[in-house]
Amino acid sequence: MNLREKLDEDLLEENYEEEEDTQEDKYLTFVISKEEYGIEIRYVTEIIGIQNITEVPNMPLYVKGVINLRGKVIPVIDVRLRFGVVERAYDDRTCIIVINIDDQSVGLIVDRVSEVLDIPKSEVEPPPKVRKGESSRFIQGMGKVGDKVKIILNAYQLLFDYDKGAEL
Amino acid sequence: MVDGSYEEKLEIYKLFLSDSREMLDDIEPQIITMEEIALPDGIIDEGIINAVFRLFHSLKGSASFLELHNITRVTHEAETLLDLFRSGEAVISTAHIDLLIRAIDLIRKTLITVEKNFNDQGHEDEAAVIINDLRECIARLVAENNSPPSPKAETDPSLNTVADEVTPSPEIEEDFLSSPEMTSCFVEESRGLLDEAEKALLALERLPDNPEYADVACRAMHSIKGNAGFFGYGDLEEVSRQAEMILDQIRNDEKTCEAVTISFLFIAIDALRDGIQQVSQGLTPEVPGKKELVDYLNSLSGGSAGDSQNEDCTREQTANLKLEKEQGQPTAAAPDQGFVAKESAGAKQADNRTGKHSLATQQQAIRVDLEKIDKLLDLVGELVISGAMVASTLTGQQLERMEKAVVQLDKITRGIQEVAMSMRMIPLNGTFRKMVRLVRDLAQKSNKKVVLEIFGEETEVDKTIIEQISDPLVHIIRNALDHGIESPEERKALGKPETGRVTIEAKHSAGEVWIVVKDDGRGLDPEKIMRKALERGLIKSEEKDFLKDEEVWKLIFEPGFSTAEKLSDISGRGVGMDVVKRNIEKLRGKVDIRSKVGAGTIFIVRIPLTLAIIEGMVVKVSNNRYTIPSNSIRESLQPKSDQITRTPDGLEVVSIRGELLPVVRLHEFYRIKPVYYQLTDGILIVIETDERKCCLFVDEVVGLQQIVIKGLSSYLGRVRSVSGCAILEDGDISIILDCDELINKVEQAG
Repeated sequence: MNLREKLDEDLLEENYEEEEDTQEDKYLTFVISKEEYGIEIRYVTEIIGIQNITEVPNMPLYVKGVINLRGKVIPVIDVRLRFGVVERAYDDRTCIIVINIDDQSVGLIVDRVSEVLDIPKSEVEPPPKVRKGESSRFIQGMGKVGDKVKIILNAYQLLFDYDKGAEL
Repeated sequence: MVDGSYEEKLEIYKLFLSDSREMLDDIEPQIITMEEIALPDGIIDEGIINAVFRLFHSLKGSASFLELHNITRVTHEAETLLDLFRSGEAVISTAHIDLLIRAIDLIRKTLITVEKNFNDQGHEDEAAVIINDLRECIARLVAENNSPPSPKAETDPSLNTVADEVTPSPEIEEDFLSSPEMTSCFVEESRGLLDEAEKALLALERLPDNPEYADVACRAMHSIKGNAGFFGYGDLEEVSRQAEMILDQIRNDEKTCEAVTISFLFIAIDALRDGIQQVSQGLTPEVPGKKELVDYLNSLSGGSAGDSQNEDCTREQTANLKLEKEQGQPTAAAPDQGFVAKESAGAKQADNRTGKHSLATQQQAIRVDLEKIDKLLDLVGELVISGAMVASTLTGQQLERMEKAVVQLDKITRGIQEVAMSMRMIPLNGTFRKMVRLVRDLAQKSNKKVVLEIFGEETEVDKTIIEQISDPLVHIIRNALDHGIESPEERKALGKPETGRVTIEAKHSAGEVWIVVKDDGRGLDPEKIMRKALERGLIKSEEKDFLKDEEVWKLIFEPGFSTAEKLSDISGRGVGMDVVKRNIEKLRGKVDIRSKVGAGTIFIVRIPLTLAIIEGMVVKVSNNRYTIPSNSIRESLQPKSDQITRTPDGLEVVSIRGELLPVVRLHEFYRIKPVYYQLTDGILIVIETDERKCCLFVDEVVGLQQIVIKGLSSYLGRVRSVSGCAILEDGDISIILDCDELINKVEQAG
């Protein structure tokens, strides 16, 4: 209520933004059937190995169930199934990337996690105009790193775009 | 203080709203008690009337701080009325109680507007009606009162509005719980305002014709008045009020701005500044010679400016006051002021004491955000689970000291859990007290005589339950009043006491809370209920003779059921009792009815102590473990082959002691591969909700467990036939089945 507190708040806010700044243009990349994908690092909270998954009835196929992450129950989705790629048995390189969007934690099951990359905006091309298949709607852009291309995913789309067409 | 960011404003209003509602909830039953006690002989319990008066006063203070004028005005009149009773000048009657209750209703209504719009505009007309009624009532009482006027009445005539503030009693101030931050905020702001006012006054002195300066000063005084009122600093409030009145007149050209007036205003500002200084030192401000100051200021604003005698007199008094201030002591020339000063010194001591007292009470209870408590509960739940996990990995290993430590840890964790849970528990008294008003209103409306007795209102229940139990209780009590209790004549003819009796009792019983509502009315008539149920097709005529009384009673919970011959204002439209049942079931509770024709009806509402922990049976199908709430389980058994019948379309039915129950194969329901396909190899769990039963076929039973219920992630949305999940001792998650929905689904499929 007093000025000092307000100032502190403002300062904090600035700090916060700075932190955000340092996260900009950084992507966590992972592999799904030979292709490399990237997701904005600011959504990622942690990466864990594959765990016991409890199945939840009446869910879409790609929702594998829920896991216990230190007492928190979080749902996990299989990104392969989300993309409509053939399912594959989990192995010791299979990872769960825990992301947090709008205060909701969700785990993404991926074949393996690669690295954290800096991809400046100038190196990100818009997604291809030609739309094909299940996964094109999740693409936010194509990031060029050297002569390789990483597919940058739209985390919102990945999580919240239920198969609306199918439901209606 | 009302200015500032939107969030701050929101916070202040939120606080005001919750406080005010609490106060109103508090006032209402007290007013009704007042009626009960006072009516027979007109003698009023002083404690109660003081309490009610205080609450109205507090409400007024906070409302005026937020500039909610309608509420301020209504509470003010109500206060004036109460004051008449308090001082014994008038005798209370039902009409007065009604008036006060109407005022409360209006305030409640206005609060809803405040919640939406941050102001109370739009209720002016209603407020005016009540204020008018209150004023008439007050005027009548004062006129009736022919005995010599009390000292208070003497100060009354010219300044009606200030009358009751002249003597702010210490109890009133005690009521305000102002946090140190609030106080320091008040001090800072008031100092700023005083500086502003002073600057404006100096300018005004130079340019007396410019109303703008008077306006600035006036607004500053107004703000100080409001804030001081909010904190219950009666002296500051009064001085600033008087100053504001004078400035208002100057601003509106109703009064010429003379040097003497300005000097008085400066004195007022100095006095206020001293007062603020006292506040900053943690004292309740006392303005030395306040009474005189107020009187002079008052005479300035009230008396005509042309009255030279008056002016001379004030001039002289100004000098006196100045002198007194300079010397820091009353002058010999004004012995009466000395008396005042002494008196105020004494009062200051008293106030110091009350100040300490309020500090002490402050420490006993603090407001905590429910979210924080829930978070704590979550964490404690996790602690319990991880403790159990540690313990389970230890078994079989030879670590004696470690084991001892784990046992100790477990004890402590459980202790913490208990305390954390108890933080969410609040007593039922608030809910029960609302019923006092309800019973009074209903009885009056239907011309019945009813007393309500409340037992065990201190019983504590989870906050979520409290929020949801009120509605069902209201319906049950309405039902008792409307259908149960007979009219006085009828009761007399039946040889019962004319006044009906309704009791509400709360008690703990084996991990549940029982709320028992009892009336001594006419009771439920099984014949009548069955006739109605037949009419509405709720039962078939061939069923009629097989129904037990308890089953008949339960019919009144069916949607659309009503035995009332005529629709009344209160109940009888057939909605209500089904709401009761549905709401209570939502809380995983139950309602039982006992009734005897002519003797009365008893409703027994049984609800769990808390919603967060339940006892459940963990069962296994393949590797999946599901939890079934124990309260839905009737029994579990391994069937013999001669108990099983299979219909041509594949429905399996098991006969248990002559009862035929359908079988639901959980593995089919969830499309998983079980260990056993033969019913005789696995286990059948008989579940029952709403008198509907079925058997769940599972591979094996793991055991009974206390489980902490967790919601499934909101990301998954609402999952059908699942009510949540629980973390088991080994850290795995188990899905909790919603038996009600499960049976529904199975029945629909069939």
